[in-house]
Amino acid sequence: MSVKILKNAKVFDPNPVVNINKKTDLKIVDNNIATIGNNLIAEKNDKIIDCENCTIIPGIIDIYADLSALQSSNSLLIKEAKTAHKAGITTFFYAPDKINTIDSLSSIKSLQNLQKKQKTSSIKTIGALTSKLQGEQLGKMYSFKKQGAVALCNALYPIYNTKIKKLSLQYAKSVGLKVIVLPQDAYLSAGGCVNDGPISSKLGLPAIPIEAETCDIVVWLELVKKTKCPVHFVNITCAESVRLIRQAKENNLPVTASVAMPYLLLNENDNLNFNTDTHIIPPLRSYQDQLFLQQGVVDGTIDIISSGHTPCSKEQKLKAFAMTKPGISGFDSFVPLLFKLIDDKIINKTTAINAVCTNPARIFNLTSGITLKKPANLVIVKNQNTIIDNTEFNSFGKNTPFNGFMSNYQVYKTIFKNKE
Amino acid sequence: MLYFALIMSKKNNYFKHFLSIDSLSKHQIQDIISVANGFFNQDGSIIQSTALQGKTIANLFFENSTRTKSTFELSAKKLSVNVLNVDINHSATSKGESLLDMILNLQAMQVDAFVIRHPNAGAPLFVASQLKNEAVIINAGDGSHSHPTQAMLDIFTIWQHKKDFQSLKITIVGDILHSRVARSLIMALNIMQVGEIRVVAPRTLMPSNTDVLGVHYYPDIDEALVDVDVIVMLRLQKERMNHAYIPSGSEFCHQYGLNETRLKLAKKDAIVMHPGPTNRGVEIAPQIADSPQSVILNQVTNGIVIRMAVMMMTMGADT
Repeated sequence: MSVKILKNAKVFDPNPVVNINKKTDLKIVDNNIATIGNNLIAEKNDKIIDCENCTIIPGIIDIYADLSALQSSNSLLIKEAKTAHKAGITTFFYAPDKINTIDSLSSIKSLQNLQKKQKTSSIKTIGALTSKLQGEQLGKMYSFKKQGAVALCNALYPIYNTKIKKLSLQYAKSVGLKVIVLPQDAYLSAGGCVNDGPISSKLGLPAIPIEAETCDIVVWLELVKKTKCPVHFVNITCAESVRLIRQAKENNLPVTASVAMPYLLLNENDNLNFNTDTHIIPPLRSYQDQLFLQQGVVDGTIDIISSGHTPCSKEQKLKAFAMTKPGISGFDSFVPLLFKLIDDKIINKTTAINAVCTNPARIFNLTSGITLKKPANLVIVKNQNTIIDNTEFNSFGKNTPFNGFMSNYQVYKTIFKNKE
Repeated sequence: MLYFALIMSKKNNYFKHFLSIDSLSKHQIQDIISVANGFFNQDGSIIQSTALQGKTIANLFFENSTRTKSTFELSAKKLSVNVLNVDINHSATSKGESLLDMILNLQAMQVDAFVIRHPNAGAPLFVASQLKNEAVIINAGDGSHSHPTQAMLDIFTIWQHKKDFQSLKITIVGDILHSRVARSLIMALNIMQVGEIRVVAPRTLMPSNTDVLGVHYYPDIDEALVDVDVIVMLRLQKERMNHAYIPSGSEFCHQYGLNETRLKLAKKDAIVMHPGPTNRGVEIAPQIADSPQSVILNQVTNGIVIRMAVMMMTMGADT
């Protein structure tokens, strides 16, 4: 029996079922939370973790990681899972990509076997919505679900045929899996690498207009209206998308949405100087869009904040802007940036923690909450000045535009599956 | 050369690199004009100098070029610079070597400066940011972003004919969206505080935000040409067009081509410019390209002295 006592922590879980916000001790026996209370007495072999100046929150659920740069390397995948663990992310979703389309049962099984051997963060698979992500035939949705896939998705690969979109929603609905959509019209976005706006006009970089996103959202919403299949839009980037999703929710359509951290903190002006670490797809939008996205999180239109984790190799970023692999490595900086949003009073603490813990769990049928007799799935966040420095990243990807960003918080420890 | 000596005596390397127009001041543009003008003899011929003897320059053209590549080579030779023309199609980049590795290898061969033309916007800036020693990068055109020496030779040509920039009205016609020439020239004209810059193109060939460019947009060429001092015609950048931006070349010519009737809308002493290559009968009528108002061939000659000036002011001469 292993016992840990977390002393003097501020425990914060705004999950309405839990709703705890107090300074207390917390006792973990083996993998479960045994006691929450003041002045807990430690036995001889108990491990005491001093949590003075710390906040304990539930383990973070990050719903979309693009790990295509890992080239399906098991060792790199384990490294990323360990990175996630150290960063306070106890569960992340592995999105299908060109190399690992996660469209076969063997792919899902091998991923699950891989993580069973390792005590790392939990890797949840997202099954391919269409076979080989080609947008022509439906993926084996029922089988994926049986193997533990949490959702279905076609990543950034287009489904040109609207009938296939509709059929995929109908089938997913009957299987009972949520569909994750990265809204992007393939023709309107083709070849683009930055927002269609003043920066693209000035730099002459190929642009992606916001219509590439909103036109696709409109099509999917029409199909959701018809099929009633729950859809989650990830990586929405602009004000108009927030408006469309808000309206859909008001009309009681089963839709939810998420935004990745970079879109809340950066905008197209950060593309100036051709900084390849700001090259992401969909692209950073205008400052007004950035503010609208922040407001979307505040008012609940946007349910989830993801890290947008897309690690890239050094070589993939050492090219001319448009030729670089789009993406920002998001795991390592996620908690400091999340608390920066809170500190800067952009998003309140309850909304922020719900957006990374409670809401992803609710939307994707996972568990979250600091609850007695339930698994201790916790992040200890220390109130300590930190400057984001990619040389200290654990991730394979050091690609970040957040180098030098300051935060007053960093992850002290993550406790998951009885591992710190 | 005297003015150049005065400038350079203040600072050996006037510019570290020459990457884009937007970082230049009006004073710096005037300095480039002065240095370039100093390379002309009284009879209009260009001087031969040993100012940069012993230096080596590498021409790296990842896109086709006739005028720019030839004039960079000629400019270098006029300054007694060794020129290495790298055959990109038969170089290691065609075997997968990255642009940066290629530059680093050439640098190890003691090349002093690299003239880079690349299809991707920002490529020369990227290379410059990665270099660790004193090698110079000169941008010879990057994607749709910038073509600073072309902008300078255009400014120089306008200066030769018009002198007072602030009173000028200038119209640029054609594919603005894909044109690095237009972007650079517009920036340079704004720095020179030109009276009015008009751009003419179908909406499909315009960047989405003209406000940030500091221009007035005209969909109608006939309105845009009224009373202007300078007309700059651009070619259609077909190599950068992957969509149906215009119905056809002939319709574009009909709607936006410069012909004699339209030229009469401009001031009587208006000059007509074109960065080349010209498509006679598409964007410009042959009789206008060959008319006394055309300064297209002046631009080509001026390209040599401007590029000489840029080499002098980047590679530095111990004067």
